[in-house]
Amino acid sequence: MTAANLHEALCYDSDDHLLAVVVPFLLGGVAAGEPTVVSLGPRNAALVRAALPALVGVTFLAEGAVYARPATVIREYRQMLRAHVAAGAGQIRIIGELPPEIFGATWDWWARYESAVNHAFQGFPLWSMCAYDTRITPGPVLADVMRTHPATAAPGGRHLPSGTYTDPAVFLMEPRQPLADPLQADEPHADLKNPNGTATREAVRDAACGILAAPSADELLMVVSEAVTNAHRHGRGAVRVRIWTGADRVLAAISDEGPGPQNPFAGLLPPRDVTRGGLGLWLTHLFSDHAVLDRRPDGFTIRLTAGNPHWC
Amino acid sequence: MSPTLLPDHTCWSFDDDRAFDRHAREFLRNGLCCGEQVWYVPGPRSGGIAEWLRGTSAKRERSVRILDPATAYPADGAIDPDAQTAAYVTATEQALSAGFTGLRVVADATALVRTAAHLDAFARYEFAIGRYMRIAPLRALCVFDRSALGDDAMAQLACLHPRSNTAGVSFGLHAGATPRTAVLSGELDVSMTGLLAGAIERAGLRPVRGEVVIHAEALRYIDHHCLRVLHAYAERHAIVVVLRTVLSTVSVMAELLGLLRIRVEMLP
Repeated sequence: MTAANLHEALCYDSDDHLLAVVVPFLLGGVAAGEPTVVSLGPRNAALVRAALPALVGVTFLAEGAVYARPATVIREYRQMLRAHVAAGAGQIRIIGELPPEIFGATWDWWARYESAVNHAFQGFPLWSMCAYDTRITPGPVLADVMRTHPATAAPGGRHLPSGTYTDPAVFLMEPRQPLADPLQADEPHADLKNPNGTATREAVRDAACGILAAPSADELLMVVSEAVTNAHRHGRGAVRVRIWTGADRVLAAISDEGPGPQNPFAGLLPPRDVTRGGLGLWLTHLFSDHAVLDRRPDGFTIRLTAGNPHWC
Repeated sequence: MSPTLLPDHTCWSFDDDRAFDRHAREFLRNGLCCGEQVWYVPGPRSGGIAEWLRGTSAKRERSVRILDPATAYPADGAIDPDAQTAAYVTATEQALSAGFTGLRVVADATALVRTAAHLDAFARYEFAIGRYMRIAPLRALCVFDRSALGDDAMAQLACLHPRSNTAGVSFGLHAGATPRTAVLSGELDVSMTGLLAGAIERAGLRPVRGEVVIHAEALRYIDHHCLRVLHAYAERHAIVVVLRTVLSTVSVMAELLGLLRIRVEMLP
């Protein structure tokens, strides 16, 4: 099969099921002389390696290191795709797998990633598969997987359209009701009303002291500062900054009374025209360990985590 | 002097005569106590100091000079930065030759910055004299009447002084040890882009092998807006800005934004 651009989910329930789809997918790419890339976790990467003939010409990316922050992954994949196209590739194949720990507290921004890549990789001759083990993937996550992938890949070379696939421009603007971090049950370490950048950064430094070291502390300073700048410049009404601290992370929530960014891809993709805004939100996503966009009828909150975001 | 140690060069924005009077007296008294010659160039609203100094000068006449502004600065208010710097170099050397330990100046320069062109020239002078003050015992309290100049002009002057009582200016850009270096400190976010763009031009840095160096060891924060200001400056002059910083985010940001004319050197 030759596809100009295809983003498929591979929802498997056994090793045999996984290999029945992945091995023909990879060998087909190699046979066609296409760049063929694997970005699976250590266990599945080993499984696939063992199932492939020796010296087959499949590229295995560093296992587990690829999927750290969604905006970073999109940027790095786009660089890789550009390089392959520049080298003459007419089709590129990638099989990827998100690490299971992100199915918990941070799933919301990975769901946004899965939706955004339908747009982000448009224009590249990419056939990508995203593997999900249905034995360990929570039901709500699988529901999002079906809404963010136009089709699923099945053994026998079958491609089944997803009945719930949702246009990214719609999916990404939906209120997502993110999980509250348990730290938010306590009084915040700082609660600032309409702070300027300097006051915000003082509060961040104070909160991060003794919890975060560089570069995490520098990153938190930057992302919170950017979010406050955005709230003042693009938001509406009063701006509120709350900061919570835990043993292994610092959490900041920046709120205003506006509807939030109107570009559905803001944060995950760099703006085409940096003079029209959007750069700060993209940087915020690149430098955060978790960024939540929470749209509610009474306003918009961006919640940013530095440190370990995987509290569940 | 280390690359980032800054001289005793203060911008005093006053709209309260008494606060200025207290600060200026303390500054001058400290100079007299440590054997420096002190100069006072009063403005229309800062005459009380002169009266106090005349009392002290009866005892130490050679130590104190009260200068008519028309004598100390060009009558038309237009400063030539190089000539004015040379004048204070000469004055400092003469003070040392006369046995003083240095020269300390309090000057009300309000009349010298009343037009945009005069302000620009004076700001360039402020940066230039700062380089000499790094190596010579010249200390200065530069006084400006905020009510006459407004907050924007005050901010443009304040960011070029290592010390300032001007609110709302969160960074400083000062002369480094050589004409190709500057020292950047404080915090730079989107609210400072205009000030930074003006300050870096007024620094008049002279590149060596196509590079200028900004010692930003004491820079606590810089955002992408201000990083782009530095890059635009580098593009205008077809140079590379070497930014020496401890902030781990800066090099990544420069790479992400494709700011090829900024080379970040990370310091431990």
